[in-house]
Amino acid sequence: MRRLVALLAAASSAGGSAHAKPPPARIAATVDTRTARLGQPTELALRLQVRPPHSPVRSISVRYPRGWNLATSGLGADECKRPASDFVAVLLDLPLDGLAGCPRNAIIARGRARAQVRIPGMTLPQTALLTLLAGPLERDQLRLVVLAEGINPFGLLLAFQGQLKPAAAPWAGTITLDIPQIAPSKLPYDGATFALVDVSLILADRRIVYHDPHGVRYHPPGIELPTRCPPHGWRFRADLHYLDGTRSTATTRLPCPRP
Amino acid sequence: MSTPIRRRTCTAVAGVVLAALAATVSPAAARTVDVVEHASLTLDRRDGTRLYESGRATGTLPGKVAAVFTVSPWSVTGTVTLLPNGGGTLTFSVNGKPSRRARGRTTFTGTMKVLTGTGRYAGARGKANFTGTVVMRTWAATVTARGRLTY
Repeated sequence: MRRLVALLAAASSAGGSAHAKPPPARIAATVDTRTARLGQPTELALRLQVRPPHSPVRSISVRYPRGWNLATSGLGADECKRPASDFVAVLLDLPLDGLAGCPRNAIIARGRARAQVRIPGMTLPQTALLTLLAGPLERDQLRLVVLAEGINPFGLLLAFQGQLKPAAAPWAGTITLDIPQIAPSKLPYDGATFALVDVSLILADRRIVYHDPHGVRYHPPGIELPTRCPPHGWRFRADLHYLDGTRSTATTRLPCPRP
Repeated sequence: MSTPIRRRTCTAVAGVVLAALAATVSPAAARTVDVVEHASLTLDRRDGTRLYESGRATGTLPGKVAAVFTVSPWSVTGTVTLLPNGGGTLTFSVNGKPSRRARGRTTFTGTMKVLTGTGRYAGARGKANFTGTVVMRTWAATVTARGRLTY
């Protein structure tokens, strides 16, 4: 087993609301067992599953534990700045297979997403490639940009915004992604809606290549694991908010790597 | 008639003697200087969120520099110890934040304040503003600090 899969039976709970009980969500956090060592940099894979999506996910917040620090990872050596109008429109009228003008040094994660496109009378699966980029620092939070490149069946380039900000103990920080609905008139089918079902992101993915100020290519070292691991591993938590006002929470633990 | 003259002479002599005594017996008066320092630092080691760096400073107080920074995406805090060539040490607390990242470099700004001093800088006080850049591949940093120091 290449990856150390965090507790599969990740706890999931629903938040209070008068609406229908939201579906269970699951989060998994994994590191590469072949290379991960305490005190050493590594890549971190996060996977979030929503099954079945009764209502489109409006926002996702993932909290990571104390001792984990993205700042010393060397990730986000540049800033992706997109106009605010991009995040209102969501759908960008830009060529696919690009970074929408953002620098490669701003990439902090790559991944994949699956969504359901609901058209009256049918539901289609949609897959997309994700790129998570660092934006500028504003009011003590790091802006994030997610570019989702639809690869099947619709070739669309979507832009979402997010934030990385400090979190109260026992957490170090929270990564939040806002997922507004796309205006139905902009979608290939009138009346279609998107509902996210699965998101996988690998932070500090080894395929990420940066250029230093002298133009030399290098891989950012990755997220340094803390030097100590708590007895039951590191805890991660995801909070999901849905369009109908409901919310759900999922937690998981990343087991300690071998010494 | 001579008494007033003698009294004035005595007073003047006493004043000179007192001034001489003050100059030789009392501690040296504190001096305040405007300080401009440029430091180049390289990474010695990383420990979690801490970066241990060292290097050299040029400017008003040239010498060696050792620093420990705790970094997060939104702040830089820590201590910087300056070892001027003339002896003594000055340790500052540092509080800053990153402001901009471009082409593999992060720019940061902040303030620093004297925490402690030793030798000729014992009891020193002062503060400064600083700006700097760090190369995110190597964590090599250059910093310019401007402020006022009393010691």
